[in-house]
Amino acid sequence: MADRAAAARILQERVRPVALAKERVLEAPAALAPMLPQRGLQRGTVVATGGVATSLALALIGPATASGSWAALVGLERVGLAAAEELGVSLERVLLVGPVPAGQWAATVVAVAESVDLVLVAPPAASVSPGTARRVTARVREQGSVLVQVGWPSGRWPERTALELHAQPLGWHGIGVGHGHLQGRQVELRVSGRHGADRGLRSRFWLPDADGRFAPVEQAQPAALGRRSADEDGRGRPGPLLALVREPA
Amino acid sequence: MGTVTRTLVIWCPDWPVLALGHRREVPAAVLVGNRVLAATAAARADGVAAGMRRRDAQARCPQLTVVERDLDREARAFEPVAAVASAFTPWVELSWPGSCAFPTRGPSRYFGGDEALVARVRDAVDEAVPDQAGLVRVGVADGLFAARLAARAGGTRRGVLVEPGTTPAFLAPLPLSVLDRPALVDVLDRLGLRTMGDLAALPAADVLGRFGEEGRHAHRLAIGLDEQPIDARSAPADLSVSTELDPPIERIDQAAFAAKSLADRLSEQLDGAGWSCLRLAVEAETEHGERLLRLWRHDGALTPGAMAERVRWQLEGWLSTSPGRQPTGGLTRLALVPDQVVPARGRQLGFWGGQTEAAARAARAAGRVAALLGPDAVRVVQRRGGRQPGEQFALLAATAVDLVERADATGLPAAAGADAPWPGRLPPPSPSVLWGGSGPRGEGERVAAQVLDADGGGVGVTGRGELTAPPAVLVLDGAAVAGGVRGPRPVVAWAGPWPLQERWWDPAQRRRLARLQLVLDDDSAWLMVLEGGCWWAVATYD
Repeated sequence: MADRAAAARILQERVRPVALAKERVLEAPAALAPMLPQRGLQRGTVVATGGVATSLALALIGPATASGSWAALVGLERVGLAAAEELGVSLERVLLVGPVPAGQWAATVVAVAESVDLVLVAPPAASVSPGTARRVTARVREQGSVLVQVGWPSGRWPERTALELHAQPLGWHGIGVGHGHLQGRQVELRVSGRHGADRGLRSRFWLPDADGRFAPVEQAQPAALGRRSADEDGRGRPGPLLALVREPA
Repeated sequence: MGTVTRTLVIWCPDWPVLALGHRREVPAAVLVGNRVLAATAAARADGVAAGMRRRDAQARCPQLTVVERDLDREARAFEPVAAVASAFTPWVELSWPGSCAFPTRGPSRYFGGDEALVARVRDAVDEAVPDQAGLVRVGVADGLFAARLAARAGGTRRGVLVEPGTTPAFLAPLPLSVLDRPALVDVLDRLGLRTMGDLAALPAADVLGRFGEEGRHAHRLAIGLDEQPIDARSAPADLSVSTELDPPIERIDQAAFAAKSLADRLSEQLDGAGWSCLRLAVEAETEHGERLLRLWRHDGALTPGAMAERVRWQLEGWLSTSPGRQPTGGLTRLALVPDQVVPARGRQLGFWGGQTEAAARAARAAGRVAALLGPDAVRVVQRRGGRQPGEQFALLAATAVDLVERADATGLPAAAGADAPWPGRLPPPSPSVLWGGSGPRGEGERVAAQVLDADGGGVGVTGRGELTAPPAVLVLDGAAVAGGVRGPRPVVAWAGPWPLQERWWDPAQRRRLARLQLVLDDDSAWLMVLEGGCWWAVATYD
């Protein structure tokens, strides 16, 4: 008996991969990292985003693309690339894939996930069957990429994902009734999921802030917002056009 | 056999924790990423070991003080030790705060042999850092690698002195784990090689043939040769960079700024000449003509960030040491000299290898998807000019672009005119969903809408660029709008209109439109455009 246990242990040692999957993590936004179980995006997992999903998903992959990972956006032809850049995505390492016919959806996602670290997917036209979902999840796990679902209504993906992020919008700043312009939105971000993500953490973020970035909400309100809207004349007339012209960099 | 420099290493055990001011008798540990990096003697006595998880460490030693690593402070606290060493020879080289090394040839002759030198160094260090007295270890051996191990060896004797020529014999009984290459050591272990002696006994050519460059490197260390790559050489003098500091630097924050900009310049220059730097000399001059010099070594090649970090540590060290050792005036000149260089073999990048590799993999993915869905289904981004959110980027078929070549260029490729100012653009944040997609192709897909006032009448824009009535209701007509926002929705906030007139000189392409931002009662924000008498929902801030 002892012999067999020892043999099993030796065998276990031999088949152990050199780097365990949970040690391989892609960089997440610094402000968000403390809320994530591995302080980053764990390779080989599926991440779901909800609420203000497009901005959230873009903010999530920003730092990883900046540090050399490629990202593919599948079925997200409508994504605002200027917003993506403001949220920190390095557009030189982005592939836009689509439109994807319903029958080719799984094959496309699998083909992309094999070679690209980050795959953002919009929900396909039809809901995904459990078999397809398993196949995609298995391939993602095998290849060590991260699959980010952008704004999936519940029920479209038959499995529970490892990590779920939900950004509940709390309101826009900088815009009034007839004055100002959109300058930032606060969201409450909730983290849930499995394997240490189920701590029910929530925190407030700017998504986006006045520069279009993803940033934590400081306790004191940024002075700039109050000042900017006070600059506009409060008579319900639009502010001067020149104030809205972006100055050359 | 190559020549090996006889080297003396000064090593402070448990430096990451002791540098932060924790005393040996008090249990404390420094953590990196939830794992123990170093612990005090008291903590170790309770069973806390390096590599242990925070929870396990605290379970063994409940009164353990746990702190995060502070490299800057480690480096500053180590400066007195480095300063002591530099009293013996200017060629003191640091690889990491907590350990420094210098070649013994000159000093040892002067002080009458290695033994006398070691005794003097120990006394001097004990005197300079009294709270470390009796802890600092000193080792001498042929080569830096062996000297480091000699400093760790010898138990209470605080390091050993390996006689010239006996370094291979000193290394032979040591376990292979001293190589600090777990993956390689694991394989060697399974092949029955347990000690450095076992590895050294193998023929070099066979080790190279089986384990490649990494194996050859390990073998060289095992037979007592220096760890320097064979092709390391002293740099051509013209690669150094220097800057005059006016006004002289006296504060740490100014030093950090100077360090960063100078390190960036040096790395640019090295990149241009095709070298990477193994050892960097930081030289400074003070107002009173003192010259300070320190060498920093890195096991791999120094990246720009690592270089800036080391220069900053050094300047902070010089500026923050105790009075008496400090330079008498501010720093007036700073120079970085790449002291040893190797031909650059590409930058050291993440787990999957270099940029080029990642780009090649992306190109393969693009090829596979193009085969599946057609060549236009995979696109890459190019910067373009434009005032409207959809016009600022163009999409190119990925199969028509050499992605690997693109990866070598820095930043996003831009079409002509892309970096012009484009006045009239809306300021950030930009909308995250464009109903018409990016690039000029999606013109027809935008969503038709109606903007109504409180009485249900249509809202227009006057010739003077003002709304005819405040908008109160948004009705989206397009079937394509996701999220179920169809039907009338109340407007809670709005801004605009901002008129835009483009290409008025060109009858075919001229456009005249007005833009409006709307926030609805569900906190969704919309960018609307009025063009040709119709409202369109152009984009959403999702």
